[in-house]
Amino acid sequence: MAKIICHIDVNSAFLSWSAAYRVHVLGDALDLREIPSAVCGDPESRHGIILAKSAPAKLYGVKTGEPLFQARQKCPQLVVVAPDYALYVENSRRFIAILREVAPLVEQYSIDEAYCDLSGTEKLYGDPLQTAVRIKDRIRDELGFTVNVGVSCNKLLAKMASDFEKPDRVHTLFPAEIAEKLWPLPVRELFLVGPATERKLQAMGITTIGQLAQADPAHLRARLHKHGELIWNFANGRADDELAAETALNKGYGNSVTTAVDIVDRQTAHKVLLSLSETVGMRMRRDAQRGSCISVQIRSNAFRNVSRQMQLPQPTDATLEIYHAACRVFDDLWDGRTPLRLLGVQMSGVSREAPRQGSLFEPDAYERLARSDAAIDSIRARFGESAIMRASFLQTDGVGPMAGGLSKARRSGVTKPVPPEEDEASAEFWAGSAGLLPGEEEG
Amino acid sequence: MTRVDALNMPVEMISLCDDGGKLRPLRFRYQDAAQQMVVVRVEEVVYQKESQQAGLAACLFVCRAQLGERQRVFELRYAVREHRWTLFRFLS
Repeated sequence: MAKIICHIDVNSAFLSWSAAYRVHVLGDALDLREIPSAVCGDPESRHGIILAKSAPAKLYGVKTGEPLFQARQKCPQLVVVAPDYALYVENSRRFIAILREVAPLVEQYSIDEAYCDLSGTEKLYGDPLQTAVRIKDRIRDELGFTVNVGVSCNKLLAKMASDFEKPDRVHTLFPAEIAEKLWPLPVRELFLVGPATERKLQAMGITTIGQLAQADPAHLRARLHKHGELIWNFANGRADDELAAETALNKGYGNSVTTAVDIVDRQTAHKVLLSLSETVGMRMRRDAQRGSCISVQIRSNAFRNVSRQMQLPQPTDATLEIYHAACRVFDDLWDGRTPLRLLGVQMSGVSREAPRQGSLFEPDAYERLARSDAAIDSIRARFGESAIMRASFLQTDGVGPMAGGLSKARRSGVTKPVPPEEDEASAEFWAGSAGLLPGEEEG
Repeated sequence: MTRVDALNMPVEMISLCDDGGKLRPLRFRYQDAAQQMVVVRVEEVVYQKESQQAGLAACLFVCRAQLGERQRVFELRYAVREHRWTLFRFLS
């Protein structure tokens, strides 16, 4: 049975979704997709980052990830809107729901991308290419935004194909078409080739994917090891991948925060580490995972990054254990002088079954921590994250008590597909007026 | 044809959900430009459609009703999740 894999990618997702909302729900005459526009993290601030841009904005050179003031220099008339993550999550859910109705197997890759396995559906739907076109059109007509679809026999080629000309197109990239469509492209366009690999390949005289495909694999293996062999196979369209139906558990939990003001003293730094540990700990406990290796990352105001790891004696999910370990690593890592802009705490070596041995020293310590963490988690779940916080944060006007990551509105389902919430029946529906609006008469 | 922003005015609505799950707008009111409360009784639902545009479930109703001296046709929208009705635009 011939494998048919599609990769579906929403065109300028955040921008398109905000635009669709304005046109189709609010009824605005202006469609953001037709003018130079962008979704920006914090439009009021000079430092807000461009999260998504429209096609006209791209023509001005506006780049995703650059600060707003830089984008405005390139395009003074840029229309900027704030992100609406609840909207984006809804759009993502509907989009994936449509895919699940059509394809037997769907793997959500990110908030705006998914793979579909259409193998064996020829008898049901007919030509897979036509099916892909129908999927694209259905999303456009029902949901109001456009996607690109790449069709091939494996995930890699499908993903590369969806990146060809946009918007609202279906592209194929089967092995027979590789030489014509894939090889002329610059090697940086290949999946898993980043700036570092690009530099190394350029040093070897390889600038296009075609040159990479025809290069000597032994030579690539010698210079780039396993990665070299992998990208050589990719350049030749060989990828052995299956769609993962279930989302895998996290392999690590990390959070970092960029502070508004440079950190210059150890006490403030420790506070930030505490708030990061709160967030990391909460996320791990929610997934019932414990980590055994902690890593702390710091970035100086000159944008130099350094990080250090430490193996923990016992796997843990307790906020204070993470915090104390983070402080130890940080004190070792920081010179005490260089002003810092970013701190990060990351737990790895994560698993659900990690057993904890009882300790002869302070035998209840972890039990007490686990109980208090569980109580804090349930208070936050019921009354909101700001309902309870550690006393150290009472007077800090810098970093909040739970730093890092997205706000709660954004957190659900953004990075991982989340099942829909259950609605509560409202008893209030049956209370109230029997039918007349107040102040009205019969008639 | 130049596009114009839709009216999209929030209204207070009395509606009927029948035992089959069908929703029907009955009567609504809003404040007009002269700060007067206008009550409109929907005479007929000419066309209705469910929409998922921009990921938000909505029901569209094209209705006919007497407004002042004239018979008018207009579109009402119900945002399902938010439980909010709006007078979206006039069609005649």
